[in-house]
Amino acid sequence: MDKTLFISSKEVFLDTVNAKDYIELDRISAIYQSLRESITKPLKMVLLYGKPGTGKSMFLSKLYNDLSTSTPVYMYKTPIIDEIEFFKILAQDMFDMKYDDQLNFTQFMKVLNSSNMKDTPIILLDEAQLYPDILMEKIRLLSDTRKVKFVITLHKTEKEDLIAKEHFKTRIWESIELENASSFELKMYIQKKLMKANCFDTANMFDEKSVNLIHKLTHGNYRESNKLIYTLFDIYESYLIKNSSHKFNHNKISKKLIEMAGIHIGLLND
Amino acid sequence: MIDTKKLEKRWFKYKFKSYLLHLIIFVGVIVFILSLFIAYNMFVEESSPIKKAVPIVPIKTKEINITTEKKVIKKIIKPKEEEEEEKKIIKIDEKQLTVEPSFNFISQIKYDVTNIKPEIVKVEKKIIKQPEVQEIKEVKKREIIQHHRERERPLKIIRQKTQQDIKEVIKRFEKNHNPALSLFIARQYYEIKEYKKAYNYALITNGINNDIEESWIIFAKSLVKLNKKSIAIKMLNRYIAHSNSYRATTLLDDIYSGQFR
Repeated sequence: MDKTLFISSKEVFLDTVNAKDYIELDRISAIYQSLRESITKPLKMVLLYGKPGTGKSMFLSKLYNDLSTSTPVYMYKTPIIDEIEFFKILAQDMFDMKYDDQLNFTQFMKVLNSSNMKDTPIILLDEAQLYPDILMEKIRLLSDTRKVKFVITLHKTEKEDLIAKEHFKTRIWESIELENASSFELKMYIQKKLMKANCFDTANMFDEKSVNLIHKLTHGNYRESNKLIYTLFDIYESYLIKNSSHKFNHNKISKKLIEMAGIHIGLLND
Repeated sequence: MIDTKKLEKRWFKYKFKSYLLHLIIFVGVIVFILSLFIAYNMFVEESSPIKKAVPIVPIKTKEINITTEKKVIKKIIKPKEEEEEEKKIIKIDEKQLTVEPSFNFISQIKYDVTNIKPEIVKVEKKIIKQPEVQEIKEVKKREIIQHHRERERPLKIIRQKTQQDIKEVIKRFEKNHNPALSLFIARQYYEIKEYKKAYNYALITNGINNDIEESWIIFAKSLVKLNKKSIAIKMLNRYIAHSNSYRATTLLDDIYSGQFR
């Protein structure tokens, strides 16, 4: 098998968040559709939550990508921890203004109330659990004005649940939970991802057994699965470079190599 | 690029560990099952009612019966000379009187059970020899229900549901030659009308302990059932002379009168 095929297959599973890499699976598509519908309704906030690696950031990117052409939408992948900086950046993006001086919450509210926007702008905040509590409280107040909509993502941990309770209890119009993939979904995800990049040969190498093993190691977590498969193809590539790939059947993924990849990224303890 | 050699080493280590864990679990399960099995066997051995019944109480006879028995014997069976001779023998040394079965039958029995000859039964000085008879080795399975063994010492046999159990008793008997077990086997065979086998095991029982009344009764009854009435009568007479057994006398009467066939 050609070495370049493994290299291109490996790159498919690079851990990046890009809306173009979004893979449509039945359940995920249904959730996404539900999110899209929520956006069109008068809302204060939409909470997107789930364990790390379940695709929250990807969802947000996809939403931004789809809405940006028709709606004023602003996405912040990295949390802006400083309050002054947050409102300043928000004002610059939303009203296309440059503020050399400080802009606090009260000043921003004045600007917001005096603005005359046709469509309600949508602000997408990723990793919202990293925002300070005081800032989150002000974001809550902002959403109460109904001048701006927020879609935020949260990690589902005990701490983040607490944040959700305290700050968004009465304000979340809709909350959507994202979960890990099932074994079948993971197989579809891997194969669709590879086929999207024209890696048909490697896509066919993933049979039910190998996907089940990957699912067993990663519990269907998309991020972990991406890491594992990336490492897997890296190992294949290494064997090819050393001309010792004859040890393995190229019609299907080697169980040994999956386990080796698992050991390499720490999913298995040697 | 990943160092595959190093990674392979780590993989072998991981595999070894995972197999080791499985091996430990497997061995653990095997040991557990074996210990359970051994414990169960020990429990069965200890709780077996047959084993507890090993000691056999010597037969007690009542004087009232003895007198009547003697009368019957004199009238019906024995010639006076023979009886006197036997009485003399018994008087000389009553303690030395033993009934010894010949175990040669085990090697000879394969040929013909019907070759039992009355001439073989001889009284030589103080010893009563039993006829050599072939042992029939076939053992049929049967459900065993036994509630008591003797009047003096009741023997409880737990109801077993498989016929395998009689074989197990035979196996146990072969190990320890306990007359209680061979008597039990003889009784069971007699009950299921396996008279040849009943006869064999009664014979063996007598060989081990010639004071067991029931064994002699089964021995004689089996002989009658095998159409060896004359031998049965002879053996009963000798036993009665030795033990003054009331049951043996009654059985003898029944045989003579035809009530027991």
